[in-house]
Parts: sequence; C-alpha cells; structure tokens
Amino acid sequence: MTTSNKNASPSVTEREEDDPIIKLQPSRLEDYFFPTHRLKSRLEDNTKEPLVIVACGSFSPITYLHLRIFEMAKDYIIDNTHFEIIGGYYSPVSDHYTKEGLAPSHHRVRMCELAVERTSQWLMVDAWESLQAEYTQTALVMDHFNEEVNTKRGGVTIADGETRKVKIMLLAGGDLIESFKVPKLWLDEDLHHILGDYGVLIVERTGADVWATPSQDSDVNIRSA
Amino acid sequence: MTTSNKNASPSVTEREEDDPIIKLQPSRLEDYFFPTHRLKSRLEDNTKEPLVIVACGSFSPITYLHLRIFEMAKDYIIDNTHFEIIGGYYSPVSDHYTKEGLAPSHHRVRMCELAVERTSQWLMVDAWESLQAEYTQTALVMDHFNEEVNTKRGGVTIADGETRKVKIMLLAGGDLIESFKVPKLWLDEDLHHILGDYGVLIVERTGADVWGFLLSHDILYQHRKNVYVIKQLIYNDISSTKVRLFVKRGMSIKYLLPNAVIKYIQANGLYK
Repeated sequence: MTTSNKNASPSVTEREEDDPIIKLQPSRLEDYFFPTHRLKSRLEDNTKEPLVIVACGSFSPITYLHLRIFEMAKDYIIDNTHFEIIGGYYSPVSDHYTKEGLAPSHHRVRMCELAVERTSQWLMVDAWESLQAEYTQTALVMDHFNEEVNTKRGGVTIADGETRKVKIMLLAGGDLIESFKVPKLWLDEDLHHILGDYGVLIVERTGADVWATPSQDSDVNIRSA
Repeated sequence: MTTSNKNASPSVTEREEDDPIIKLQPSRLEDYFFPTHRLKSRLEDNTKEPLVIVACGSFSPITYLHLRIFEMAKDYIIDNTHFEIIGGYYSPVSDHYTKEGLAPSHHRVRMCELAVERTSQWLMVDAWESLQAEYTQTALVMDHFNEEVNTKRGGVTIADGETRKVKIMLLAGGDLIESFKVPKLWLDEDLHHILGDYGVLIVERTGADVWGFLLSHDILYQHRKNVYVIKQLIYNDISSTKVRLFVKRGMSIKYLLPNAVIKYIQANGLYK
C-alpha cells in the first residue's frame, strides 16, 4: 500500500487491475465454452456494422506488440470505417502446428488470458482452436467464430430489438501477407472465404509492401492500418 | 477474482503487483528525502564494485522503453562488468527546462513512481532535481546522488562490516551522445566530471555509430573505459513525443506504458 497523495487515489491509479469474474478457458475440449464476458450484446450506434476481430497466432508468448496490434486496429476502425467493435479475440494455434518454440497450448492460452484479463476492456481469449484434435485452417477458425457469434447467438441486438449479423475479421501482421506469397500454402477457396466472406485487418510498418501484393486479386476485402 | 486452475496460482502468475510500503516523493523541496527503499545496503558479492545507475530525462510521460533501458543496462552489467547494481533511479528534469510537452514536474515524478512501484524490485524515483529552484546541470545531479549515497550514507556495507564507495553512473540513450556533438552545450569540465569521475551507460540501437563518435571526441575517448555502450537487441522505439500526440488525438496508448500511468494521464487531463 502506498501512502497516497491527492493525485494518487487508488481509483485514479488503477494498477492494471480490472477485477471482473472471468471464467478461464478449460484445457479439455469437452469443457469448452465460447467466451463472451467482454462481447457487447447490444450495438451502441445503429448506423454502424458490428465487428468482431480475431487474431490467430502462436502467441508463444504473447507480447505487448500483440496487444498493441489490437489497439491500433481499434483506432483505425473508429477513425476510418463504419464498424463498431463489439469484441476482440486471441485464438492461439494448437500444438499440432509443430512450430519451433511453441509452448504447450494450455500455457499459451493462459498467458494470453493473463495478458488481457486485467489490462483490457474488450479483449478475450478463445481456446477452441488450441483444443482441436488436429491443425485447424484459419478459414475454419473464422467459421467457428461466425458460428458462435451469429448462428448460435444471432449476432447483436440493435435498439429496436432486432438483431444484426456481426462481421468477423482476421487481424494480422505483415507475416500473413508474406504467407500469401508462398505457393500452395493457401487454397484459393480458403482465400476467397477469408478475404471475401470475412475480411482482414493488417497492421504493417510499411504500407507500400502490403499494397503491392493484393492488387493482383480482384475480390479482395482488405483494410490496411 | 478468477477461478483458478492448477497452472494459475496467484504466486505463479504475479499480476505485476509488488506491495511494499513506499513513501512517495513530496512536491516541496522542504519535504524532500532521498529514496532508499530499494537501495541495497549490503553488497552481496565482495568481489564486485557497487553501482547505482541514474537516468535523467523529461519522462513526459515515462514509457515501457524507459523501463526497458534499465533492464537492458542490468543485463549488460551482469554479463560484461565487475559491477553489482545496488539501485537505479529516475531523476525527472525540473520544469525550468522549458521543453515542449513537459507536464508539471510533480505529475512526471508521480508517473515515474506509478511505473516502477509495482513492477520493479530495484528502481526508484528521485524528485530532487525536479524540486530545484532552477535548472540543474547533469553533473550536479550526479553530485547529488554521490552526496546522498556515499557522503551521507557511507556507500554500502561489505561482509566484514567495512564500507565501500558506490560508483554512480548515468544511463542514457543515443540522444545523449548526439548532445555531446552540439558545440558548447557541455562544458569540458562537466564532461570530464561526468565521464571521468562517474561514467556513462549508453543504450543504443547501432553500436557502430557510438563507437565512431567515441573515437572522434577527445574527452569521450579519454574516458572510454568509463563509457559502456549497450546495444538494443529487441528494437523498441516507443516515443514520449508520439505518446503525447496520441493522447491529444484521442488515440490508444495502451501497452506503450503501464496502465497505471495511462489512468493517471486521463485522471489529470494531461497532454490534451
């Protein structure tokens, strides 16, 4: 306990504490539940399209850069688009991805939870992908979020009681774009699905690199931050 | 309170909390006291030379980069030198420095305290420089630390009860080196005092540039044994200037600096 002065009352100087009751993601698929504790169920502004952002990755471990990427996307969306963000999710990859440096998935999920549970008001961690019996394509992870948010829960409620479908977008760094260049890494149908039916937010340092790649594709739905 | 599982006991997942009883630096010079709550009074390893590191700067606001710089210096010192760190201090510059973007000093001191009090085991904040009636030269700030640690307190105790004088070094980024290039900005005698009697730890991205300059600058070269160049291995360029700009434009500054500092900025309406 610090001796307080008038500029330092506990409520003012919140020490990264945010004490809601958060259920942690389980480590077995049979106990899995979709986290919604920070998912807005009502759209605040009817003129906006509701949006959920999903970041897939190893997060081994999650860093401040991963956290910043969501914040940068949020600022960009507020300033440049018609979307209203209703929630953001980290979806750590499963251990089947067999990449060097991958800590066991339950650890990576837990680290992501630690990173967001007390520092964020809108980010959550979803363990679904990490709990799958085999490696899950990004397109299927997006489908899972669409299933949970829209199919099972009907999207968000808007003022007059009606519901509106939520757009799901993938959030990624420049390495995602680089991966698009790798021949045969992505199936065309998956690219159409991810880019066309969902959408991608790419956080990059040099916008030029990003724009050089997708201009060759005709039905691309990319926003670059 | 989160429902716990076996991998997540509170002691394992320390939430950046460190709850010692810390007295905050006062906002009036007459109430000033030198902070020692994290200053080691005993040297653990007799074969080492005790060291206190001082970082001078605006810290308007303090960011994760400022915090990282101390950590990088610590790693370097452990791995490459004979020093044992007994404490580290932020010494925020006074308002007389009249630099653009400088929040009032009591705010900057408080933000530094918020940044370190719950996240560090060895860093402290000293308000002495910020409380002075006029701008204080860096050489005099170093003298103040020397006075407090060595003259008034006799340095550290070593195993057999004897005391040993503590070395005081200045910690800085590449901008300090750049400032050495500015003609007449530093008095030669001050350079000799800071570099010769104390010493400097410089955290830089491109070690080559600093070494090249060291070779070309007579006084720096003369005291090169007291100048330690630490290369940043993970590049981090969080800029206080940009943070202030983001605040002004209503953009998110989360994860660029500790949440406690962000909340303080919001609560006190700083940088709008």
